[in-house]
Parts: sequence; C-alpha cells; structure tokens
Amino acid sequence: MKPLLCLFLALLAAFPVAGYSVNSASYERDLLGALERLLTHDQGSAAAQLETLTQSYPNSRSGYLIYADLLAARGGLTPAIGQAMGHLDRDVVSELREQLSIRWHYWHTIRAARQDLWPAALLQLSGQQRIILYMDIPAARLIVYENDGGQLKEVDNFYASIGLAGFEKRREGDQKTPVGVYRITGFIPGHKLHERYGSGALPIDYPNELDQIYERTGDGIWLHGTEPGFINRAPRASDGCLSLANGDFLALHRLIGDATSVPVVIDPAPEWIAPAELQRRRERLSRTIIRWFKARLESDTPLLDRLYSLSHHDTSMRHLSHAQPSSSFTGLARHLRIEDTQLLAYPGEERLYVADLWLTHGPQTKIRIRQYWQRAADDEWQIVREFSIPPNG
Amino acid sequence: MVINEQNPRRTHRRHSNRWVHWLFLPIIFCAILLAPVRADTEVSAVADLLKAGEYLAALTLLEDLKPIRPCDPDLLFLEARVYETAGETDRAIALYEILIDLFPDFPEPYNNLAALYATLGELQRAEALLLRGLATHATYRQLQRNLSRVYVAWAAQAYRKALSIETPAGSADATSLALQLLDSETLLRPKTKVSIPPTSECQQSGNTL
Repeated sequence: MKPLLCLFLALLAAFPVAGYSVNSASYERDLLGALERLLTHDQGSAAAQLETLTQSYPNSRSGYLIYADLLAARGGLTPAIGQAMGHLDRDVVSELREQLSIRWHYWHTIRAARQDLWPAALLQLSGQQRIILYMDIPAARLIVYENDGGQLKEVDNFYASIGLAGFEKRREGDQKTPVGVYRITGFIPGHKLHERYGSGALPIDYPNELDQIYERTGDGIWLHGTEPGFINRAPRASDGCLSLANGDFLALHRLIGDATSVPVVIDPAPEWIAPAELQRRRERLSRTIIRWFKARLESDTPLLDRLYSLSHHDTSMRHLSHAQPSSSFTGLARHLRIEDTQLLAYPGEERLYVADLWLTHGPQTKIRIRQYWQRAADDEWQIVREFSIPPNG
Repeated sequence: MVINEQNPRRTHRRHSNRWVHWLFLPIIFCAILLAPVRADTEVSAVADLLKAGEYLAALTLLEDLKPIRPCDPDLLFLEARVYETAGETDRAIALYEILIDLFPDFPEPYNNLAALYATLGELQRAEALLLRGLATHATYRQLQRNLSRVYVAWAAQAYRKALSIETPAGSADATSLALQLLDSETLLRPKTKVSIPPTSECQQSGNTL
C-alpha cells in the first residue's frame, strides 16, 4: 500500500493542476528567502534555492535575474542588477528591480512599522460587509480585511500592479489607476476573457458618483489576473487596472466568495493609526451623523442649512457644493432608525469621508443613503453630496 | 632546488629520464632536426610544432617518442592538445579522460577537457571537471572559493544598493567580508607526486585510442 501511495503522491506532484496553479504566497516567500541568502553571502543555499525556484516557477523573471546574477558573480562578472542602476528608460531589469525592492520592503520594513496599526481610511465597516479590500499603492499591496464583529482582521495580502502612468485616473486612456472608494460589481471568469487578464476579473464601479461629478472618463477598471508568461508585472504596468498574480486573483476570488458590492479603497497615501485614534475619528464622524439624523427627523431647518451648505468655499470641492437632501423622511420620521453605517475616508480628497447609511422603518421600508462629508479646518462637518441608493446597490 | 620542491612532478621525471638521453640520443637528435625552432627537450619540441600548426609533424614526433617515454603525462597531454587543435575532438576527449584517470593530480587535463565539453554545450560536465581540477590542490581550491566569496559579496552589495536595502544594524561594516584562511595543515600535507603507473597500463590505454 505504502509504495502505491507514494507513487500516487509523486504523480500528483509531477502533474500540477492544470491552469493557474502558482501558489503565490509560497512563491514570494521562496523568492525573498533566496534573495536574503544572497544578501547574507550564503551563496551555496542561495544557489540551491534559486535553482529550485526557477524550476518550480519557470515564469519567475525575478528568480532568473537573481540566479543569473549569483552565477555571474561567482565567475567575477558584474551583476545585471547593478548595471540597470541609473538607466532612464524602463528596461526589463529596472522593472524587476522595482518589483523586488517593493516586495522586499513590504515584508522587511513596511509591515514591521505598521504592527498594531490600521488604515485610517477604514473608519467603520458595515455589519453587512463581510470583506473589504484596501489597496496600498506605495507598497503595491492589496490587503484583504475581514469584518470581525466590527473590527478589522487582515486575512491576506497580495502584491498588485497599478497603471503604467500611475494613479489618479482622470480620463479614458490615461493608463492611470483611479483613487477613491469603489465597489466590486461582478466577476468574469478567465476563460471568458482575453488571455491578458489571466485567471479572471472583478470589475469595479469607476467612474463612481464623485468621478462623474468631476467628469472623469474611462471605464473597465478591473481587478484581474496576469497575462501568460508572467507571474507578476512591474509595480506600474497595467492600463489602470489592479493586476494580481493568477493564483492570488483566484485566492482573492475565493475570499470574496458570494459577497456583493465589496468595497475597494484605493489609497495613494495610506495613513496608519493606532486603534484608539481610529476609534476617536470614528466617533467624531458618527456623532455628526447622529446630529444630522436628529435634525432630519425633527426638521431642524437652521441646523440642516448649516450641514448641507458649504460655507467655506473650498476650491477643491467647488463642484460638490450645495448638496440637497436626497429623500424625504416625511411621514416616516417617528419610527425611522439607522440600522447600519459604513464610514470610509475618501483617498485622494482632502478631509473627505463617505458614509453609507442603511435606514429602516419596520421590516418593509429600507432606505439607503450615501453621503460625502467634508470636515472643515475648524472641525465643522458638512455634507457636500448626498445620494439615495437602491438598498441592494 | 626551490623550484623543484614546488613542482615535484617534474623533479621525478627528470631523474627517471636521465638515462634516456644517452641511450636514445639518435632519436633525440632527429627530433631536434625535425623541430623548426630550437628545442631543448622532446616536450618543447612537440609544443613548438603544435604552436606552428604542424600537427602531422607533431604527431610523428610523438609516435617516435612514445616507446621511449611510454607513460609521460606531458607527452600524452601534448598529444591530446594536438588532436584538440586539429579538430579531432573525440580523440582529444578520450585522451584527456585517460590522463585524468592515470594522473588525477595533474590539473591541466581537467581544464582542457572542461573547455572541450563547454564548446559542446555540456556545461554541467565542464563545471564538474573544473571543480575537480581545483580540487587537485587545496590552495587552488581555497583561492577560488575566496575569490568567489568576494564576487558574491559584491553581488550582494549590488543588490542592497539596487533594492535600497540597508545593511542590518548588527553587522559592523557592509564592506567587510571574512575570507577563509589557509592554515598550517595545507603546508604540512605531503606534496602528492604524480604516480607513474606501470608501462603496461599506459600501453593498454594507448591501444584503446
């Protein structure tokens, strides 16, 4: 029996499951492990690890680069990575250098500096959202958080590439990744797509309400896999999408499962704060929302006027001024209550927050409101836009 | 004498060959006549012919010398070189392999055989041969290892610089590298002499060619 079992296991190992079988978590660990061996001059085990890595992941350009450099160095040749320094044009080696550097720093410096800190953008998760995605652009990481009873719990993170021209998408074809708060609108399996999208795609709702106000153009911004022949692309490589390794994309899709409208916060300048500070900021905005809610119920016109009009003419928000209440609460007032809230800072905009409110009135009536709140310098809050949204939207 | 101490193989051969000069003087004379340039010994005569591209003359001379010095590693080596430069790769490979078998401490055949395998694209064989060649002498091996360590440390430095990775606070100096020292053991090791195998063995191997 035992030899038969061994044979079976050996066959299983020899024929990996067809398609996207790359386990990216172990790929990155192996790659950085080998690099660390080289950095500590442990050339014997570095070479052994790199040989295994390049056999297991024949598409690993980074692996081949380090391996080639190690072998070249043993023979007294200059490593290619050194020669790439200072080149202005984006050659293959510089792109691999950027990718390796960002991966290394994520695990060796960035993560350590963030221990016990949380993204300031994720103020409060809705009880209905099981999962939220946070794209840390400088670290080239898509972090998956689970909603653990209102608390954030990191469940995974993936190296992800953004647009070739960077971020802050403004118009169609600018090859930039949008910055802001988006939602996943669906899933397209890989076999229904061009091969350059790899193992599949999760489209997001760019341009959202805010982008439309700003008249930002373009569409088809997706989270997707990687084209054949690559494990990952350079940190900046796509036409504006977030691109993950195929194995990572499938892992992400599994984590999302049947969750709909999963929020994706794409942040070019992440701020990481302690839980106590996060709590303080959350309560500050929550109190304001409760004040607004009471004012609406009681039709407190002077207060509503203050909350809905932008007295401080902030130039960046000029387009967004003069928000109007989105729906009438008349007749519902007595029994209306806030059932659920999601509060997120809106990346790329100064002191702007997006609040999703689920209001109920008995079991039948559900109202969903999305408000864009801006905090003025003197800590006064104002609603700059308000939208009524279908409850399941 | 100091030179002889450092190269025991040659010392050995000179002693064993002294009588040959007297008994086979006519052949040596012919060899000198055949050589286009001055030739002190048989070996340099063949080497000169080889340099001049006179493969046939070199081979003829080697054939003449074979009965006199049947198991001479230098002559066998030169014969392999003649085949190699004449493009008879298979014969050269066979002869180098015999040389390595018979004189495992003789480093040159490892190098040349590795070169031949490398031109044939057999890099792993070439690498193994070069490593074995280095292993003929503890000092070569150590020098090579240390040199390789220096180069790899440079590669590591290049990676630190390219990826902006700082040297960890624990290590004193990023540029310092501890190379392995040669200790007295290598000095005390008996200097291995190339063991000249019995003539019959050489004849046998010669016949296989």
